[in-house]
Amino acid sequence: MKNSLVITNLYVETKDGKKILSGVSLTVKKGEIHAIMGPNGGGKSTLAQALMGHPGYLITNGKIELNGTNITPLTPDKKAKLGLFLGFQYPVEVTGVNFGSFLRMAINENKKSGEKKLSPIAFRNELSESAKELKFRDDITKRSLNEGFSGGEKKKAEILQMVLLHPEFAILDEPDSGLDVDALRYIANTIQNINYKFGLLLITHYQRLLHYIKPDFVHILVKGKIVKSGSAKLAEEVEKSGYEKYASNL
Amino acid sequence: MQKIVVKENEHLIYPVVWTGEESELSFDIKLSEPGATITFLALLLGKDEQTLDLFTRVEHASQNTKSEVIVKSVLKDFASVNFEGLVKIDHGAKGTNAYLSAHILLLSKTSRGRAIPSLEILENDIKAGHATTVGRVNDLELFYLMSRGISERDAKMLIINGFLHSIIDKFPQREQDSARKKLLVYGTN
Repeated sequence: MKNSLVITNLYVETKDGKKILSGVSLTVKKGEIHAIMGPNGGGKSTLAQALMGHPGYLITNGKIELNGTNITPLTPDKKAKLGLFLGFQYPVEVTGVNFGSFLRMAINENKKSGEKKLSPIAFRNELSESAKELKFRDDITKRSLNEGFSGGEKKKAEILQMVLLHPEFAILDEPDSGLDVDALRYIANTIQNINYKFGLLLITHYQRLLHYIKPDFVHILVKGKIVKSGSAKLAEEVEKSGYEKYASNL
Repeated sequence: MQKIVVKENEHLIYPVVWTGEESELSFDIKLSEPGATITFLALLLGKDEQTLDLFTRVEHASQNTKSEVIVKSVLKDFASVNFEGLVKIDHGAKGTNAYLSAHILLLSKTSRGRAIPSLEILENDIKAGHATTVGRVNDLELFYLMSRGISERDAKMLIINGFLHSIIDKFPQREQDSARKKLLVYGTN
């Protein structure tokens, strides 16, 4: 299917055989925001990471299609080039790799063949615009990738990367965890100001973020399965009554 | 065996780049007079079946002397490096500051690295430390870089460059350029 990310009956386990996801199906169309909520250990982060191709997880059944292409067996770089983005819950520190040059390299890698590469000056301009919106205190592009970044800077740097890479589908794994109210507002604004149609899969524990970014659909993931899907109202219900009633039905 | 003597208040930066020519290198460094300082830097790039035995001995023979020995190595194919670093602090060498570090990054399953630091300290009023690691490219770092559209090969090159960045930066300017060229040749072959 064009303009969609389709996950069909996905089963995922860890390399040492622990089953985490047991048959997750989900379709995200461009222009839609889907929120995935659920208790700790329900499989939310595993879903996010397995979709991108985390080396610690094995997809044992099911498939992932992006704009009609089966991307299940592809390496993470190929998935990224086809338009998938993962904002990490815990961004990885890479010693000695300069954030700015890494970012420019990544942007150029994601350009379609024939498209013009970004010059250092054009890159600076694009970067400073988005960085302003996220209100970074320092110029993080001069520093090593995520190294020595504060918790908030790491999260904002993920959003910065997303904005500059123009993905067609983005998965954000708890972009709100560890953020203060102001930082939360900056990232929410930045996401809302993205001026083209893309699909967003938002993984979150709390409703807090959903006050700023209104989802079209909310899914509850418990014990590796989506047990309920609904509108934004479902998130409010969960906030009042918790996840327990969904867990006991399994 | 190469003998290096550092004199009063002299600050010597001594860079070494190994790209497989020698199978054995050893350095005998003596900080013979007060205030003598050495920064010994060894950048080791191994491939194919190249092997190296590297030995360094630093003797602090006088007061307020300072030594920093930094070894950084990347090894691919069947390459192997065996490093032994000795720091000796003589009796009376008060105010000595000695640090030795060796970090080896293995890029293949068949490469081997070993780093053994030893300290021989005969004086109390000193500072001395060491750190050694032998490890492989971190899967998560690779995953993170690749998730941004960077190929596995380029991501590894970024990680290698990042790993070696801190030692090359300590080289004198002219040697920096030549070291970077050697790294480029190493990376693309």
